[in-house]
Amino acid sequence: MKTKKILAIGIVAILVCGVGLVVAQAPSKEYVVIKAPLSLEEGENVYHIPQSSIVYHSADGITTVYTSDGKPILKARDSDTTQIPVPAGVSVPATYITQSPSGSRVTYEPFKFHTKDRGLIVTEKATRIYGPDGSLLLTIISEKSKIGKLPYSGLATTKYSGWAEKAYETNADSFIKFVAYWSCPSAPPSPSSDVVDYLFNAFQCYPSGGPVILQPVLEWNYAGSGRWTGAPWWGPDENGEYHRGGPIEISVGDSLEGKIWWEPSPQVYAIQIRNQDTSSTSVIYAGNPGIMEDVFLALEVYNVDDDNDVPGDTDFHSMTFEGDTPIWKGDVDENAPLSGLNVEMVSQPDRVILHTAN
Amino acid sequence: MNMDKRVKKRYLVGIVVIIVIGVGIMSALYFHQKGTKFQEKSPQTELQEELASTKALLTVPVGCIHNNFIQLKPGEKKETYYTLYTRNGGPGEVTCKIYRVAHVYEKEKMTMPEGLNVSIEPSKFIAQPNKNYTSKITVKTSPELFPHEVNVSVGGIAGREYTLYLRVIFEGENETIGDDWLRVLVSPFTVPGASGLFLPHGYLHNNSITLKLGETKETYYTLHTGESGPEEVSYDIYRITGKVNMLPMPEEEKLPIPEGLTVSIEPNNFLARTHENYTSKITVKTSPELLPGEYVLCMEAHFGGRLTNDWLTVNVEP
Repeated sequence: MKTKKILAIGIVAILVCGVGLVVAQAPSKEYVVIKAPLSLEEGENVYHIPQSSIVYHSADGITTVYTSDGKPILKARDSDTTQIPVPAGVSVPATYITQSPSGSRVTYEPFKFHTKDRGLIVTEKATRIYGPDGSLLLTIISEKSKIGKLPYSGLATTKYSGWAEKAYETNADSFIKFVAYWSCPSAPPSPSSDVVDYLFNAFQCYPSGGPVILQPVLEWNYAGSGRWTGAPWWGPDENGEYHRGGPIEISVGDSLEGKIWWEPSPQVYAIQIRNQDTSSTSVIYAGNPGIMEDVFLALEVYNVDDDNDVPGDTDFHSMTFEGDTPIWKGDVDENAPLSGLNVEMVSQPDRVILHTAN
Repeated sequence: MNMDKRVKKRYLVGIVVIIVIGVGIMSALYFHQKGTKFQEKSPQTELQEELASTKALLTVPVGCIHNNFIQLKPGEKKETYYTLYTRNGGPGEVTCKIYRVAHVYEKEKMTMPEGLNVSIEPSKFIAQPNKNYTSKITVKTSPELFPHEVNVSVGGIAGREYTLYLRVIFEGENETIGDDWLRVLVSPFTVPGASGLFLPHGYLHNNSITLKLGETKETYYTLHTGESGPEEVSYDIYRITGKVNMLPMPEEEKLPIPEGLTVSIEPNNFLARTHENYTSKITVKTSPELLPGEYVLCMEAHFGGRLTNDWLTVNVEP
């Protein structure tokens, strides 16, 4: 299945640039050259290692794979290893990318073990990967001091940010009004403190200064608030600045209206979010940035690493348009470390559900 | 009085001359516009140009930035990478220059603001044919780059974006398509929408085609890559019931393509760079033994981990 997810020390990485067939060359007796990610499953484009292995990235730039009883079964110099681009926009050595079966979960635990070649290794934080049935699949240990010495400083980025799923119409003429209704979904079940989630309907235009987006946004944990808020946003303006209207309070289950429309007098686009249960409203005006060519519905997330970081399903319904009418298409980012993403066009053009696992 | 009349006459002549010149200019503009309109490209010409451009993108040296959007807090430093794929180009010297511009697609140099520092390393190297070369781009900001206080409970300016242009010169390779843009958003907090301003998207040139038994017809799919790349593009075409519109498509909605109906897409499985259109040709063939009727096909595009789809209805007439 193409949706296969790759756990990479917390990074979910989809391989790009066509990694070639797996070849483990042996330039010396001791070290092998790894050209593909390590994997617990056999297959093309991976370097197979057995279940329960312990992958140890040492400070001297060597990656060693041990059996669970500490016997080394593979050694590789990270500097000789093929670099593989990952979604964070960086390349990391293939020894740092580990594929695990879909449905695996990751924990961080203190760990110590005896090795045949290095003696006792102790760490406060080992990455341990468990299968869906709870069995231990893999343990990964990185000596922290090494990270700085490596030429791959992007390695620190381990969480996903981006538009995880969306519905879009980018092949229409122009729009002048877009109204969408949805209920505030359940909050992320157990999010990290730096997780931020956004849900919105949006217009996008393309004036000579580059694209501009207008969006009434439902915000989870904006600026560390730890709760749902709503605010209209637009930007960038001609100075590159993004604008946020005053926020309104929103609770799970509240009925929301997100509206973007052309106001003929005084010739401006207005962006508004309204909590229909409390009647609180926030509106912001964007001037006249250009002809609204594209429309979107989106779930955008920051710093997520599993399903605990995202809200429940969002049902955008009773949508109305003036100007053109969209025919929604779906888009899902399979790089996101999330299960259950699905864009359901229930009826064109008035109802779309953005599904998550929650 | 006579003098006054002469002056008046001169004024009148002057006004007439101005009117004549004005009418002349307006006429010239009018006919120029009409002429321009007459020179607009036909859809067929545009398609041929798109196909030629796609062919070039798959053969000439190309390069692009891995992550074209960086969001960082004032005072933070972040990195991204640029990779050049030389293909048959080289050996030759590659020079990379990076500077600020007004916005994406713009190339005119602007002054770098105080507090924004950008570098690329290596910026000069000799490239050999059929190799990939990766340089690291480092973006450093200082706190004065975003001097605003973001008042979370009131609203206001929440972030400031700068655009950088990377100019890549591959000596002796005039056809290199290697320039790219990097957006840098400076904000104390995340900004919704900004990361998705240039997401990839695609469209079918026709959503339905009608053909008779034994006929072959073609249509096209164009993928605009936006800020995604360098990434592998792959297409999958399968038959669906046409009753449920979900992405990913549930397995139970998929049907076998009947014997006598053949669908192919070319090019497929290729490396794509950022900010380009890639147009592929879809060929639909029917054989006489195919049952006439309506067949709904789902065209699935995989690009850089993103998945999107489009529907093509094939009407087969006896």
